[in-house]
Order: sequence, then structure tokens, then C-alpha cells
Amino acid sequence: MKQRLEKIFAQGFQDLQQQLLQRIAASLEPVEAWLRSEQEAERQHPPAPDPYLDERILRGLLREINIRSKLSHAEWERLEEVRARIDTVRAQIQDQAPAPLLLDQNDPAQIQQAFETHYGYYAELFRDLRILDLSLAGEYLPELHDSALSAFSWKELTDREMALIPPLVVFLATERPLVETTALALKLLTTGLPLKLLALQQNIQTPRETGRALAHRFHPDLGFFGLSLRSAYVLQATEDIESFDQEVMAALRSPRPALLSLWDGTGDDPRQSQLALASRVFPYLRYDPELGLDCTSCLEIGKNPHPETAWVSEILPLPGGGEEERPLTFAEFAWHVLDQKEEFAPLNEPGPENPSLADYLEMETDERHHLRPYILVSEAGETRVLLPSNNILYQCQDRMRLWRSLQSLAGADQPSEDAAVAAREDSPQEIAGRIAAEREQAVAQALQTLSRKLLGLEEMELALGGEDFKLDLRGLDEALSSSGTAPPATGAAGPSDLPWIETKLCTACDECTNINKRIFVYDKEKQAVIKNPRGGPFRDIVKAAEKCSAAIIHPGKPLDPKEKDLAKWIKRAEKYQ
Amino acid sequence: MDQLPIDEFLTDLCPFEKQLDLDDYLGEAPRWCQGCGDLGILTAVQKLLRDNQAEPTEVVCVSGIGCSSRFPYYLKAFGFHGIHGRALPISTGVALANPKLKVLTVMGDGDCFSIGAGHWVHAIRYNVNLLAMVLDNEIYGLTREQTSPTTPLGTRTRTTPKGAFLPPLNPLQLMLGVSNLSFLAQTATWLPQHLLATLQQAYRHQGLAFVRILQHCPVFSPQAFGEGGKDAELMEFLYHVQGIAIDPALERFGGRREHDPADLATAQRLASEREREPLGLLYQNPDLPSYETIRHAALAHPSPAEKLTLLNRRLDRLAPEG
Amino acid sequence: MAIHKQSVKEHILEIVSDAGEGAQKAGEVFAKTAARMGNGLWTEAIIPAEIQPPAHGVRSSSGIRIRFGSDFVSNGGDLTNLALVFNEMSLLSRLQIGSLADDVIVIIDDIWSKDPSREIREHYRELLDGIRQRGGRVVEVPLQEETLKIVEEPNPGKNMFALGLLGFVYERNQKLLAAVVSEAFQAKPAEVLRSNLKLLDAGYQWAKVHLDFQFEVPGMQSRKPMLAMNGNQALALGSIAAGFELCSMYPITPATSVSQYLAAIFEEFGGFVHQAEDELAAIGVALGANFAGKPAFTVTSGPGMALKTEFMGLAVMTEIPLVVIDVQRGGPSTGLPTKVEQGDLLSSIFATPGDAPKVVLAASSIGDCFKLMQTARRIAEDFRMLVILLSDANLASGVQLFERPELMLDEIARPMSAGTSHKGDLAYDWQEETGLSKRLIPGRSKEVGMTSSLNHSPAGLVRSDTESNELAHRMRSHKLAALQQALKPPALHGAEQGELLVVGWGSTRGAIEEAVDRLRAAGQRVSSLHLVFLNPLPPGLKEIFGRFKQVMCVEINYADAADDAFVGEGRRYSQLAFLLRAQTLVDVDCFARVCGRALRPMEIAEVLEKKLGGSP
Repeated sequence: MKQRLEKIFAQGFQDLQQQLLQRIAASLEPVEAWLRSEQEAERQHPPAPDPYLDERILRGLLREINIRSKLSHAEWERLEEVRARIDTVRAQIQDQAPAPLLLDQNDPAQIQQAFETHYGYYAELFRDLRILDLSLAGEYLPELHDSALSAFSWKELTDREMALIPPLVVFLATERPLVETTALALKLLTTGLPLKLLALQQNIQTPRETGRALAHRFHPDLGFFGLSLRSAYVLQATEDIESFDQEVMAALRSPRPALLSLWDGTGDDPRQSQLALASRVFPYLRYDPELGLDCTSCLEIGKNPHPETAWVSEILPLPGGGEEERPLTFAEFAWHVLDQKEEFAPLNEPGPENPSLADYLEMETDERHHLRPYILVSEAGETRVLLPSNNILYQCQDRMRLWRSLQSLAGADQPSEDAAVAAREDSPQEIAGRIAAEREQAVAQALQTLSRKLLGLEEMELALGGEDFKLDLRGLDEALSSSGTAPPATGAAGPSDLPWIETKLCTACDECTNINKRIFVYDKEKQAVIKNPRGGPFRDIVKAAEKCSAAIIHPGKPLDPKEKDLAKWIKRAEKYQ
Repeated sequence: MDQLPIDEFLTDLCPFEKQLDLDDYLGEAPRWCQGCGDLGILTAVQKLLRDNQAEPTEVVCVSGIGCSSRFPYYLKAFGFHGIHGRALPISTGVALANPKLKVLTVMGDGDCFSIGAGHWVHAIRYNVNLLAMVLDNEIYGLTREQTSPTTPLGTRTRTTPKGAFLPPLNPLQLMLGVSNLSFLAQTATWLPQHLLATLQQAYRHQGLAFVRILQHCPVFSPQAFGEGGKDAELMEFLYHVQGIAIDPALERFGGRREHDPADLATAQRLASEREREPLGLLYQNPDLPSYETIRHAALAHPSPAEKLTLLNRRLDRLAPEG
Repeated sequence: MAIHKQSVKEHILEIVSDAGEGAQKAGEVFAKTAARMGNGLWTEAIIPAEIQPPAHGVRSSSGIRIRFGSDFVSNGGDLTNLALVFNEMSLLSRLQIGSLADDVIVIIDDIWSKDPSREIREHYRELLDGIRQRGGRVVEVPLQEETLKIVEEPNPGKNMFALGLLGFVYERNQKLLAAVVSEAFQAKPAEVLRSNLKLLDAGYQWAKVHLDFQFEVPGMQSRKPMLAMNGNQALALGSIAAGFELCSMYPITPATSVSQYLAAIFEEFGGFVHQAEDELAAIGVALGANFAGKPAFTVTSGPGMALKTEFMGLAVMTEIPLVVIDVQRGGPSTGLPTKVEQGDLLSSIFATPGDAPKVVLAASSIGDCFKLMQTARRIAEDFRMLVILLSDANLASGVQLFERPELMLDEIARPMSAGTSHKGDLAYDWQEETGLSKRLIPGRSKEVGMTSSLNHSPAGLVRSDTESNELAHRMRSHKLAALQQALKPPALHGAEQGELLVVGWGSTRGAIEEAVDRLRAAGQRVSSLHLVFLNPLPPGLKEIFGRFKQVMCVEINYADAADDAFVGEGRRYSQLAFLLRAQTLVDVDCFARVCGRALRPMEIAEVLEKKLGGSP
């Protein structure tokens, strides 16, 4: 299987690499074409021939300036910087062999880190391509895009862009207990990272247990488990299914996290994997969350043999002559593939208490009393009759239920299968529609956020905190204009105790604000006010009053009686009261 | 969704257009001395532009050389820090080139009244549509304390260590004698409201609005204009319904006198008697057409192709056959 | 009377009178008629220093000198073949400056022979005898007498009689002559025109009866579309063709007429002339207008250039495009205001204090005056540079017949180039190698910019550190280097190599090339090179100089004579020679005169012959 995968990667990612390079070219080429066309335009509108100037050289000298004059300095720099970066990445991509990034590593933290590095690299590329596109369209708005794009991560990438990135494929170690593997898968698939988990299934574990214990035991089944995540792309397949390669590639190129559970039979016998599929032990299933809103639309099991029936049947000659149609169940799989011969006992002749396993499985529980079903196996051209153990019977039962559940989820048990198929055929448009709707919504949301920012609503909200403070000042202003030079009559400290400023007369000479910015600040009209009379020593207020070029600061009385040299400062303040 | 409260509804869904505020006119951080009146003039000009919602890209601030001429660096607008005494010709060129631009010309007393005196007189006569401010502190500051045309007689400066030899130039008297004068006002840095109100009126005037702004230099001429307005005896506010409004709070800075800004003869007398510095609008003639209005009115507006035809016709006359 | 008719390839004619007697007007009509008859043409005005000088003196002479012929005429030529003078003092003035050929034909009003003043009568006789003695011929004509038969006042009036007379002498088409006269008097009352036409005819008829000689000067073979105008007119019309919209000036001789021609017609093109209060304001307004996006130029002469120097430094520093035309006159100081000199080359390149790289061009013909306005504007705007375009008094008033330039819509409609309109743009976004940058224009750009006369950073902010200053200087200087790369190598007149290379600039081109042609026809190995771009100089000069044994500049400015015994090793070279020696390290010699008039081909040829003969 590993070799098969290597081939798939080499082929599938060859295309992907080409597509990615085409995507790069799609953005770069218009820019280069534009640069060329600018030169072309000059050529088409040559200035009058000058007897003394060499037009060709002159235009060469001016070309860059002419082009640059169509762009802002920032745009030009951005364009040059982005072009250089894209060129580097393009060269790197061209040098690489096409393949996903394979990671044989089962530590979630390290996987996550590897993912961020890998996708970060491509996210930067796509960000640059977007900058290029926007710049060329003249739609690059620094106030919007600078910040949006500086925080750009792979999360902002579109599905189409995601699909162009060689995915990060994590090999899930299947030799460890399946519980552990499932736990790891759960951990990784719920990180929200579009990781591709690849499990190569070599075995189906069949613990030898019976009864109640068996019934309550957790049966890890990787493919089916994936369905429960609903948002992950799941592929469970054997290599026998039709267009296996494309299936694998589709899973790897899905924008979603993906779980690939592939049958990797133990031997070279192709019948093994065929049997795994046919016996419904390892049924084909593909769950593509993009395809619809309900499970039926997303789940596809059509590539299983006879997907509409419970079992795939085989006609085997009976030992005593004649022939019998018999279903392929887990029992056959256990005998042939798992080689659990010890779970079977030979039976010479099926008696009345020995129904065929297929019939047995269709019975209600109470009908099964005292019955022991048989199976037929063909070995070395000879058909043998065998009695499977309870364990095998249980597994068969379990597999049947699982398969029926799958059928039911996939709607394959519904008579209107054609309609379902038809619906699925429509689905690409639906998808497009849905994606468009989602985008629209996202854009609308972004625009709303942006417009709020641009309108300064946020700042306004912030500024609201200062509203009261401003009202105070207005009061001060009013007090001033009504009573000429009288100090404001506010506060319990007494009218002339607090320092005050005739704000209207402030010439904005910076003297007081340079002395102490905690006491003196400018108001919205750039005229000085006292922000906090306790913001500094009385000394500073007196000094400011002395320095004030408009002589409009009145120091009042000291608020801190313990201040040093207070008597001196009070004396100096007198002149300005 | 819940209905928005009305105030949120208004701000979220019916926003006003973006208003320019003082911050939109902030250039580099000023590097004038502390206490310099230039800072207040800068603030006043920023408020002036804010109040008129002038786009910074459509305002051109031209200056000459000197302390005050650093003005354009500190104002966010198109700035042109030119050469000594030549701010007015540059401004004239700008106004002639694009009458849609708002031109602010900032000069010092030496810049305008001395080295640029020729341009000063003629700019008034041309009456180009611009707002000219002279920041007069009666001294050369940037070159460190030399006498200026407005330095009072006897003032000691580094070039007149024994005191200035000549009585100072009377710029108001001179300007009121120039024909075609259309707007002349005087204000001072220590009167921020009066300063702004004066600039507002000058800004609205069509033609050359000349505003002399009195100030003192805290370093080299702290004594100028009564230590920067501290002597109310030296100043007199001119009031009139057509003039500049006077806030009652200003009364302690000077006396009051009614003066009709249409009365040129009285303005000339007030300026020449020079008992007190008149503060306010000395003269305004709103009916004089500006120079660029006159010049632009006479222009045809041919398309390039029409120009080509016209020029070819001109050349035809110079062809031997023509 | 038997008429002796002689066919000549060209003739030089002078018509000279006292100021106000209308010799210039008659000459202009004659020249225009000659141009219409297909003659190659170069005229020079003879201008008195004052507007109304006292009559009857050498300094009051006013008139015109017309060289016309069967080929393209590139300069004023050598000596006058026929002089029609209104009085003997006019004749004397021409003799004094050595303008007349030995075999000159002098046609003179005979009224002075009957003048009441014996002094005048004798002086008149004396001068005419002198003419005859040196081999000339004198034709005395009753100019005033005949004129008074038709009009009551002889002045003006004699001029039309004289013109009619010349119409006979040169076999001019009478109808054409009358038509041109009619055009000239278009604005005058009909009776004035009538009497002038009568006088014209009378002059012609008088000559037909009394004169026994005629000259035939056939027109040119090639009939490409041509124009006749003087250099100042060409500068004015060229400025319109180049898309200029403002000419800001202050009156100064001999530049003023550029703006006068413009003032009459500019407004119909959407442009106007601003007469500023002084030379400084004239350039300041032009600079301010260019800054704000209106293509403007200023035009002046030497003293004006001196006054504009500080503003030119500002233009260089702020990198605001600006074209300054300097129509040179004699200097220094007020010098010779109406006379020809090429004395402003070095001051144009170097006079601005501080290192201030700028472009200096010089028109070498009337056609150049027209065409270089476009070149100058393109360079000024594309390179954000000050461009000084030099012309001189010779081109300014000399009318030439030259090939009609083709007008280009792209030039006349050329928008202010390299403007920019984006947020975040820098005032001086220098391109690292070339120093070129686009600029912010108020009212058009979305970003504000600071333009400063102080040293500044790319953002336009004041910087006084070494690094910023060195960068800014290098950027301004590299623009010159970039421009030099775009200059075509100059074309040689004559062979690619030889004994002597003559290098000239400005209005001397025609005379130098004519002199070279004469010597080459006589087998001499001499070529010439004429420079239009003087700063930067075109590439490859040193290599070209290397192909000649000797290199010599011919200019109309001052140089110490090589054989001046008083001058030691500090010999002062002519201005271009000085420049070329410094730039190429070639020992360039020079011949230069400050004669106040155009150099004549024959005097150049004489100098070159001597130089060639004296070489080993």
C-alpha cells in the first residue's frame, strides 16, 4: 500500500504543484503584464522626436519613475517586496518534488507545530498573492488591509487556496492499540487544523470475549468513528474500489481535516482486501461534509459491492452435491484473512438446528434459541461446512449492524435511491451557492466591523469615559465668561482654594504643560485646563503661573500642607491669585 | 435582533461624514522656544482650518526664512519653506496656478518688512487671494537678536549695541497707503480668541488678507508690545459690526474704539497717530477683484486639439506664403 | 537707359535711417517679400540705444540688415553689398563698424548735398568720395524731394519710396510687395495705406527711369514648408507648443519681446503673462506656479539672471521643475543691453552658491529656440530640474527663414509629468541610482508634502546630518549623470577626423559652419562641432577631440589673446574652452571676441586659416 500511495502522491501532486504554480502566475502575470503595458503605452505615445535626446534611453530612465508615479510609495514598495517574496517561493516550489508533507510523528504538539510551519509558509504566499491582486485592481486599502493581512494565517485561506497547498499527512500508527490510535485521531481532528490522518489498517482486532462484557465493550472502528466528527472528511477504502487513487487525492485535497483509513492487507493475496470489502468488515465509506447538510448527502457508500443489500453472496457447491448461495460475512473473513481457524469447528452435515449464518442473522433473538448457524468455506477447491464460535457470531452481528447503520445513514436503504443520486449530482451548484452565501455573510460581517472602526465608533465609545470630565470644563468655561475673571464656585474646598485657569485666554504656548503634564493638559480646543490639581506639587502650579505667557494661571492654595518650602511658594503665588 | 437604542442607531446606521479635527492638522512637533507666541498662532491656524474643514492637501502654507517661517513644518498641509523675503512671490505663483488652493503665507517682520519689502508692497497691490500673516516680534530671532524694521528707537540689539538709531517702520501706515489694499487687520498672540476671530475673517476674505500679529520673543524681545500685552494702555480694540468681535474678557488687555473698516481715512489716521496699537480690522474692501480672478477671467479654454489648430494658424501667418 | 542686370546667389542689403524714419519697417516688408519669393533669409535689426535719440548722428541710426539668397541662410554673413541710407551719418555709422564691403553700392538721399549747413554738405561729399575711392559706387537719389511730391511730411514716407526703389533694384514682384505693405498697414487708416502704396509705386517708377542696374536673387529650389520669425518669437511660440501656461517676467532687454509676443496671444491659448514687480518675483511666481502644477517659465537677461540666482538655488534644492530663458546680452552688469554676447555660460552653470546641479542648453538657431522649449520643459519636469535655456541678442532679433516645425498634440497637451496622488507618498522618493523621483502637487495629491529650502530627507523633513546631506547632493547630481546618458552624441559638421576641430555653442553655429565649409572647399581638413547641451555635456567629447590635431572654441565672449604679451600663464580662456578643458583635459584653444555683434563667417575663416597654417 505504501508504494501505491507514493505513486498516487507523485501523480496527484504533480497536478497540484502545476495548479499552484498556475495560481501564482495568475497573480504575477497581470502585474508583469501591467508593467509591460505601461512601457507599451509609452511606446505607443512617443513624445515628439527630439534632436538632442535619445528617446530610447530617456524612456528607459523614466520607466520606473513613470510606473512608480502611478502607485504610491507604499504601494510600490509593497509591490516590489511582495513580488520578490513570491518569486522566491515560486522557485522553491519548482525545485521541490511534488508530494504532501509526510509526518511519521504521533505527538500532537509536534504535529501541530509542523502544521503551523507548513501552512504558515503557504499562507504567506497566498497573502502575498492577494496583496498583488488587490494592488493591481487598485483596491488595496492600507487602513483595511494592512492590519488584516499582517495578522494573516492559514485560517483566512479560502477552500480553493487550501486545496492548492500540499497537505500535511500524519501516519497514524496502527500497530498500537486501536483505542490509542482513535484517541490520537480524535485529538488531532478536533484541533481544527485541516490535518490529513492516514491509517493503514493491517488488522481488525477481535478480542476473544463473550456475553455482556463483549456487548458493552467499546469497539473502535476508525472509519465509522470519523463520521461522528461530522466536520471531517472521512475515507475508508480498500484499494480495490473504483478510482481509488482519485478517492485518496480527493480526501487529501479536501479543505477539511481528513481521516483516511485504508486497508493494508497483511499479505500479497489480493483476495484478502477484496474480502475485507465484500464481507462488510472494512466497508468503503466516504464522508464529505461539503456535500450537504445532512448525513445522507455527505455519506457515500456506493462503491461497496451491492451497496443496497445486506450481504454480498457467493454461490458455493455443497459437499454433498448441489450448490448454495451463501453471504460473505465476518466469519468468512475471519477464516480466510484473519486465519482464526480456532474459532471454527467442522460440521459434517448441517442439521435442523443448523441454519445458514445468513438466515440466522436475520432471525429475532428469541428465534435463535438452540440454533447454531453454519458457514460454508471453500478451501482448495473443496467446500467445507463450519460452525463459527460465539465470538465470530457476535462479530458478524456487529458488522451487520454497522453496515446497516451505514446504509441507513447513506440512505441506501431508501427506495428513492435515484433521487438521492440525482440530489448529489446537483450538489456542486448547491455547494457553490452555500459557499457564496457563507462568504457573503463573512464579508458583510467584516465590513460591519471595518465601518465601525473607520467611523471611529470604537474610539467614541472609549472617549465616552471622558465625557463627564469635559462637561466639567464646559462648566468652567461658562463660569468664566459669565463672571469675567471670577474663579469657579465649585467643590467643598472653597472657591479660591483650587488652582484654576482662564482657559479661553490660553495661547497654547506649552509652558505649563511642559512643567507638569499630570496637572496641566490641553482640552480639545488645544487650550490648557487643570486636569488634576493634585497631580503634582504646589510648586509646579506656581512655577507654571509665573511662566504662563498669558498670565492666566491662578495657583489657589496648596492642597498638601506637608509640601516642602510651602511658605515660599505661597508667597510667590500671591501675585497670580 | 433587538432594536438598537436611538443613539446607537444614529451613530451606527446613519453616521455623519468624517469630520476633520485638530489632529488632522498636526505636522511635526514644533521646535520653537517655550513660551513663544508662534505656538499659539499655530494652534489658531489649526483651529481655523478645522473650523473651515479645509482638506490639508488643498492648503498650501508658504513661508520665508526666520523663526516664524518654520511654521509649515508644524502644520499638516502642503508646506513650502522658501527663501528669505520671498514667500509672497511663491505664494502668488501658487495662487495663480490653482485658485482652488487655500494659500497661507507666514512671514516674520524682517522677512516681510525688510528683505521682502518690495514684494510686500506689490503683493498688496496685486491683491492675490491669500492669507498673509506677519508674525512681528520687533526683532530678528533666528539669527539671534539683530534690529528689525519694527524695532523701537533706542532698543539695544547685537547690531545696535548702543540702541537702534532710527524710529521704527510703521507697517500699518505704509500698507494703508498702498493702492488696491483690500484687507488689513492687526491682532496679537496673547489674545487667542481675537487672533482666531481675526484669522477667520481674513480667511473668508476674497483677495489678499493681511494680518499683522503682534508678539514678543521670550528670549530676545521680551519687552516688546508691553511685555506681550501686559500693558493695557498700549492697546486699543477696534469694534464695529463689520469688524472683529471682542469678547468682554479682553477688556483688561486694552481700550475700545469704534472703527468702521470701510473708512480708509480714519484707518490711516489711527495708524499714523500711533498712540495705541489698534487691534482689529483696520480696513476691508470686499469688492476689489483679486488678481487671479482678473487674469483667469480673460482666459480662453481651448482643448489641446484646438490649441494645436490655433497655433498652426499663428504659424501660417509667419510662413512666407501666409 | 540700358539696364545692367546681374544674377547673384545672395546679397546683403542694409536700409538705415535716423530712428523714427521707418527704415526698419521698410526692411521688414522687404524681408517678408523676399521670404515669400522663396529666398533664404537672415535679418538683423540695427537698433539705437535710445528710443528717440537726437536726429542726424551715428548713434541714432536705426534700420535693418538683410542677407537673402538662393540657398538656406544660417547667419548674417559677411559684408554689406548694398546700403540704402537716409543720410550721411547713417552711412558713417555703418562705415565705423566696418559693415560695408569695399565694392558696396550706396544709395543715399541727395538732399544733404544741398543742406544749408556747409559742414554737412562737406561731410556728405567727403564720405561719398571715400566710398568711391575704396571701390564702391554711390547712387544719389532725391528721396525726400520725390516723397514730398506725394505727401506733405517726408517722415515716415521716404521709407516707402525707398522700398519701391529697392523693389526695382532686386526685381521684386510689385504686386507682392504692395500686398505685404497692405498687410503691414492693416491697422492704419485707409488713406495712410493709400499714400504709402503711392509712394511705393513712385519709388519703383523713379528707379525704373533713373537707375541702370538690377540684381536678380532667385528663390530656393526646395519648397519645404518654411517659417520666418525671430528667436524671441520662436521662444514665445515654442512655449505654447510645449504646453506652457504661464510666463512670469520682468522687462529686460533683449528678452522682453518674448513676453510681448506672448502677451498678445497667450490668453487665447489659456495662458497668460505675469509681469512681476522685479526679477526675483518673476522667477518666484514661476516657481510657485510650477510647484502648484501649472507649467510656467521665466525669461530674462544677464542682470536678471544675477538677481534670480537665489531662486535658482531654491529650484535646485526643492527639485521643482523650472525653465529659465536667458537671452544673453553684453555684460558684465548693465553692459551692452542691445548687443550680442555669449557671456553667461559659466555663470549659468556655476553661479548658484553651493553645489547646485542644473541643466543648461543653448539654442543654436531660430528653429532651436522653438524646439528647445519642449526639450527644456520635458527635462525640467521629468528630471525635476532647473533648466536654463540660453539664447542671445543675435537670435533674439534676427529673423530667419527655417523649416516649419511639426506641432505635436502630445507636447501641447503634456500634463505636468511625474505627479503622484497616493496616501503615504514621499516628497522626494529618490530612485537610488538616478536620483529621479516623482513629486507631490498641492490640490492633486492625496498626501501632503513638505518642500524645503533646507537640506531634507526623502520625506521632505529637515536634516542636517552628514549622511542625509551627502545623499541629497548625490541624488541631485545623479540626475545630471542620468540625463547625460540620454543625450545623443553630437554630430560633426565636416569629416569625422582631421587637422582642426572648431567647437561652438549658441548663435554662432551658422557662421562657424559657413566658415568651415569655405575652408573645406579650399581643401582644408577642418570640421566643427556645435554643442546645444552644455550641462551636462553630451557623451564622447574626449574621444571626438582625440581625432583632431587641434581643438579650438569660437565664441562671442572674452578671452585673453594667446599672443597677449602682458598675460602670463594665467591666460583667461573663453567660457566654453574653459569648460571643455576642465571636462576633457584636452588643450582646447579659443578665439573669442566681445564685438557686440554676430561673428562673420569670413573672420572665423581667417582665424581658422591662421590656426591651420600655424600648425606643424
